[in-house]
Amino acid sequence: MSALSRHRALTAIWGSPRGWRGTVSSVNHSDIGRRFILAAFAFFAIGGVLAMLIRAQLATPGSAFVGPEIYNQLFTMHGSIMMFLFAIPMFEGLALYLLPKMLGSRDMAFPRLSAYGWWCYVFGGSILIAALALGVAPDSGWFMYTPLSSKAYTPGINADVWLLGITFVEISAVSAAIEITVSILRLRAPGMRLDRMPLLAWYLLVTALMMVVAFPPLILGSILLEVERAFGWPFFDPLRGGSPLLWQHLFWLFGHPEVYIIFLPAAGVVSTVLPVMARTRILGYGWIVAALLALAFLSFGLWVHHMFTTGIPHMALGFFSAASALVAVPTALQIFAWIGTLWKGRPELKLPMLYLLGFFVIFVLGGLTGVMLAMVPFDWQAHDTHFVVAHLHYVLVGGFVFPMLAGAYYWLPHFTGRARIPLLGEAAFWLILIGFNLTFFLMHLTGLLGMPRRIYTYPSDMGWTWLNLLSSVGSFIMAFGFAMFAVDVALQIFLSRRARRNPWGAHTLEWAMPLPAPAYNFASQPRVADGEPLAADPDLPLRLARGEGYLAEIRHGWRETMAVDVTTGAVDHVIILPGNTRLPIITALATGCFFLALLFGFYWLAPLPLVAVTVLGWRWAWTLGWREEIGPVPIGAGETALTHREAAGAPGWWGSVFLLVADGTLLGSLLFGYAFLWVVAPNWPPPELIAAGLPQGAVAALAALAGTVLTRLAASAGVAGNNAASSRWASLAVGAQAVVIAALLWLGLAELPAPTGHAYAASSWAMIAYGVLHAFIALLCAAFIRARIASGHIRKGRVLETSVAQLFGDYAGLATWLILACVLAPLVLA
Amino acid sequence: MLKWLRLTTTALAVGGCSGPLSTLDTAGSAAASIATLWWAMLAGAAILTVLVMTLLALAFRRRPTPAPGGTRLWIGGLGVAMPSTVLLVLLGFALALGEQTIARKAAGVVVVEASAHQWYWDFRHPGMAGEIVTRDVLHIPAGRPVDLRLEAHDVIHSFWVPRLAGKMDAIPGHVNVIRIDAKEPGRFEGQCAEFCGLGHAGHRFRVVAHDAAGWTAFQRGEQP
Amino acid sequence: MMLLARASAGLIFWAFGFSVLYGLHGIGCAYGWPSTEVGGGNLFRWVMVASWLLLCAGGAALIWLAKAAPSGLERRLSLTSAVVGCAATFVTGLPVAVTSACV
Repeated sequence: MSALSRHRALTAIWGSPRGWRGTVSSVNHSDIGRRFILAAFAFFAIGGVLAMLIRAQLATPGSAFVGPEIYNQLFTMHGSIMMFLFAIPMFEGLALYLLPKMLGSRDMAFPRLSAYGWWCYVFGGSILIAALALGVAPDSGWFMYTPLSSKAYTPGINADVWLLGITFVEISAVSAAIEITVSILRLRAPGMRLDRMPLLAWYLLVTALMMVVAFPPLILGSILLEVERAFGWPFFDPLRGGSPLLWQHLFWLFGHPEVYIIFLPAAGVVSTVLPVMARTRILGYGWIVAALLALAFLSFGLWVHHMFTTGIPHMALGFFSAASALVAVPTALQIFAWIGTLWKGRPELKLPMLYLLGFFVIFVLGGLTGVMLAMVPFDWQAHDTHFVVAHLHYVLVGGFVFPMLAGAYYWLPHFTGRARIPLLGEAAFWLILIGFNLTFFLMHLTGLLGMPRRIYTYPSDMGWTWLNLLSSVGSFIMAFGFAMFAVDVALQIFLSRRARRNPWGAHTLEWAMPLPAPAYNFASQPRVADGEPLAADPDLPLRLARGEGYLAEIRHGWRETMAVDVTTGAVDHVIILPGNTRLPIITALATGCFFLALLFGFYWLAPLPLVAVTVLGWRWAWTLGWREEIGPVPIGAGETALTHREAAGAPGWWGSVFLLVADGTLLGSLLFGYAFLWVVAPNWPPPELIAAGLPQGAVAALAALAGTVLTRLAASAGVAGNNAASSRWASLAVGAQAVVIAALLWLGLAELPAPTGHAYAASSWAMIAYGVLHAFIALLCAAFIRARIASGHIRKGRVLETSVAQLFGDYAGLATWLILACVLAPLVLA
Repeated sequence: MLKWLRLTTTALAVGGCSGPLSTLDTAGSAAASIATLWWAMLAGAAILTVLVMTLLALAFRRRPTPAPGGTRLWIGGLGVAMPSTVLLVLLGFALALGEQTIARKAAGVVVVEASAHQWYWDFRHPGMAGEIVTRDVLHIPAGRPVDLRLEAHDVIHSFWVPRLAGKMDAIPGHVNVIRIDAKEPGRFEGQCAEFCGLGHAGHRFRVVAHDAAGWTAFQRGEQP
Repeated sequence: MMLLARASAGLIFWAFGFSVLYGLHGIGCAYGWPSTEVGGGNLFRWVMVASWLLLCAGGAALIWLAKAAPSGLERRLSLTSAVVGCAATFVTGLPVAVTSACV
């Protein structure tokens, strides 16, 4: 087969239909990645316009441009958009687009999940923007502190828009996190050991793992607050045993790691682009990986530094202050590793390097003010002033936007296949750099002179007038810079000449393909023997195009890509990925209907879309797989491998593991909340505790154990090819989970006080609801196994579906036991 | 060193760092020591910035052979040892300073109850004949430590008089205590620092620090 | 996967120790341990300092264990993780010895 005919055949398999059909059905990672990036940039523009309105209002004292009603929406939406609709999706887009290409793979592990995440992001973001246009946008700050965001003080729909819209968008964040993790761990080119991975993949792996653990606390907090607003369950109401501090803990338990989740991918871009600009290899690869791991963990011990003024005792503040100081060390390590790399090589002042220099200047200043704010006494003064506004913009714009702009100019030839028009980008750089510093450098002083955040106006005699005016002027200069960047990119896409194949002389695999990148990435997958494959073998692109790598053979119209051993990168199995489908958009629409029903208060209608999502989810799993015997398939170079349905540890199993890690974090946060309220909240102990319920508890516990064991029996019988036994065990497992659900509900209804009375009852009920939901999921899994045995999909040696069902069965059992222990604890201890 | 810093502080405060809510134009002991911490950190940050920028600039100079220095210098020395040392010293200093600032048990502390509302403050002072309640004006004796017991009645607010001390949130359902003092008699502006809704910008109050005679008069119920 | 587990072990240990100290602090303050006198100090200080020192010892033991990891990136990551975990346990726990209990 010639290279050209292979290209045509692969494009037919991996590409998307033209027109709207392709738009709604494509699951290709390059398509979805590009869409994420474009949409994130559009949201960045909207957030930027809001920022300009904020600066217009603050330019002069006593301004009558907007009132507090509008102003509060402006800054709330500016923060929320930049965090949730710009920064996170932007890096997700970059990861979706680049990761398979850098790892020598053909797609991400769960293409339909990427598409589902994309639609959830767009629909959720649209809800927020629509609310903004209609003047009912959230107005309690991006941090949504209760009680200000509670029903009593925000009676309108504004807070619900935030809670539901952001939770909707977070579905995409969690799915991207799981997908990125599994793709990096398993979907690499054969031979790419973990220590040969491009550094960006390490950064994204660490980021994605952090997201798996960081987002659940916020999702839980949002659910609890929405339930409080909608049904009056008083989790955060101090009069009924709730605590506003619980919200702050849950929010910042997410919110601080979030800062690093935003910074790390951008730092990964620096570690990728900078050595290429310096024509050398990065200094201290292993040290940087170690620093990343340290950052990932330490960043979870900082959240209370957002709460230094909430009256937490000094000793506890000390723990978090120390951790906040420590986290600067791995960051400093990276800074000096980068400078050392520049010293080692011969840096050239090309445009991406210019942006990297901007990053150094701004981010170092932001890091230093961060260390200052980590010191408790200084924070007591600076907290909630414009000093913090300056600091966070130095960190986020310096630590995210500048590296991303460097990355944009670095990878644009990859996206467009075209070269840049000279000088426009340099002009944009200087406008952004000067405008940024004019806006935010002065703001440190504004804050020290006492200007608090989030005030819509100020008197003229405070000494802030000229500082604010200069900041506003700077912000408009910066805005011109970004507009010029957009123009530059548009010109490059539509007008510029074609680019060379590897314009920067880089050595990572994403440059081992024609530009713009084809839908299938690699005509055949490389065998990697070096951290910089193109340096070791400059002819690699040609050989891959000729089909001299893995999986060059085209068969059955399958989308095939290799899965490797996590650590060694040895060939493990072949993954056959699903093709284009409308299931993701339809499922996202059904999910959206659920959120809209809650938003407009049609609670009776909300179960309908939930049923639809369940049915679609079933179909989602059902449409995969095949009945025929496959066995080992040839993969090239005379080797063979099993397909993923017959190999242990397929991506679906790994994805389920990480989903359950996220789910477990959510449960952990719920249990933390329960314990926190017991120890810290006012108006405890509650007037009424659980008085009986051991029999129901015993039934639920035994049934949960039975459900777990039966699912395991069904799984092992299924893999052994004993269909009749497997089917019988699965039916019994369905029955056991149904008993769990009934017993848990019976326990709640018969013995627990009403959830609206006290936070104790509300949190006990929340745990019961969690248990019921997971027993139901385990029930569906067991029923699915039964149906798949009947249909002939599960047969001897097919481990994937049964192993996933077993995971969910195990988890449901464990969760039920934990929940029963917590719900019944007051009874047993009393 | 500290004395020198304090002198510089005062000089700078006079020339441009003053203002009714300025944290640098200090009039209380907590605010003064925090301002000292700030100037010290600013000096340190300036030195580190110059160091990093110089190293960065030197990377671009033309040179015949690649410059020396491997992971030991860049990562072990500059990346780990240097920041760890600086941060540990700073952390110890800040913790000690925090200890002096918090509301520990002490003799002669005046206790005032403050309750925050959308959008005013009520202060309940100890008087000769029972409580004296004022709205949006807090009265304290100059030169004595004062503990404010903060409560909030609706949403979270934050008590902040920048020239005297740091801030502390007033949270519904919890009581927080902050210690302030004014070195000299005078009037000081206060501002709610936690976003509290539509009236947040205007959620201001004033502190009046009395001399000994003025404080006695206030406690007797004679409004000044 | 063992590589990632080894490379995180020391840091997971720090996270565990950090949660233990923070949790004990919250419980101790809620139940008034600082006002219980035990052996020349108060119960709160004894519990906090003892837990901190125990955790530091545990961190040191992990460093010793990490030396057994296979060489290459895996040993480097396990060792740095253990050293960072132990050092971080020491530094973030330092306030138990020097700051006021529940003010």
